[in-house]
Amino acid sequence: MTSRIDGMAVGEVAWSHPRTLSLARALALSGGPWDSPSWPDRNLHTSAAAAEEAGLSQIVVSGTQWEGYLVGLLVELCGPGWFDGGTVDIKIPRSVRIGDVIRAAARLEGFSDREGRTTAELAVWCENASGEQVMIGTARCVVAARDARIA
Amino acid sequence: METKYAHEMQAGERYAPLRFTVTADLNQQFLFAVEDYNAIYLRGVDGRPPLVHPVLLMHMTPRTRSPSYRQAAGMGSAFARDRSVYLRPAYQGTTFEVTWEVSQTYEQRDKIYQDYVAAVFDADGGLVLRRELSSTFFSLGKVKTFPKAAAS
Repeated sequence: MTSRIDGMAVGEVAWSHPRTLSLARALALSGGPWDSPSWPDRNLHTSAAAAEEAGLSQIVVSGTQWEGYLVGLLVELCGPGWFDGGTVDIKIPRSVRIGDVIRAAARLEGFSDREGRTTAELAVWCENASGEQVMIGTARCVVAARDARIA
Repeated sequence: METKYAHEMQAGERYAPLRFTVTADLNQQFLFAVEDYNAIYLRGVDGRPPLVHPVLLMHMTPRTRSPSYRQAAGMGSAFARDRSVYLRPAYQGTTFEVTWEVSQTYEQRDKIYQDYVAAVFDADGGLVLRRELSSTFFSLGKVKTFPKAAAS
């Protein structure tokens, strides 16, 4: 089985579609199950008042939300192989506000042999509409048909 | 005996595990959250149930999800970085268990840092997701401007 990553050239960047991080999406992620009697949960990610009590000027969107964009992109690129050791290592250099537009990206850096398996090595990040990185890191996944391309 | 506050937990100590079941409604709630309607999460592949979106599994792994998590009054915590390894597919309809173990604690620039490992197991006991997470504790109210790191 081939995956989208098999068609990528080293140095090529794959982008997710841009997503507007609306309050509705943030509530869906951080507000608890929709069928909970207490929905939405009141926390820094869902409530301006809770954020203010914590000394924040506004709601801070959970980093999990846009890490979800990134991992969704990696699943698209790597296919089923993502769930066989797919690894992502990230940090968050700046926060995301409600209403920000975010897109995820993955640049194919090359291939390696890890424990006898051909592995794609990627640089990954998410950025806002100003081009500022709000998540940065690396990822890797096993690929099927790249043995000949290991340097 | 009361459990410790989170910032008092030391290397080797564990938070109480959490069990949760991923229904179609819950999975699709998270698909809406991240606007990801890939068919593998809605219809499945090769006759298997739909996959659980990774964001739902990630969402269940901060230590704040543990039934034993206790945060001291006046303190908050912020997520700093993570390393996640996806080891097997997670299917809708499955009951998962999450465990947490503190791996390291240290202080730096008046903040307490706590590293821990979260592991998600499926109903067969198979390891689905392993996350190494780093976080900080801070005093609430001290942060007056929009922070650099996203609170967890």
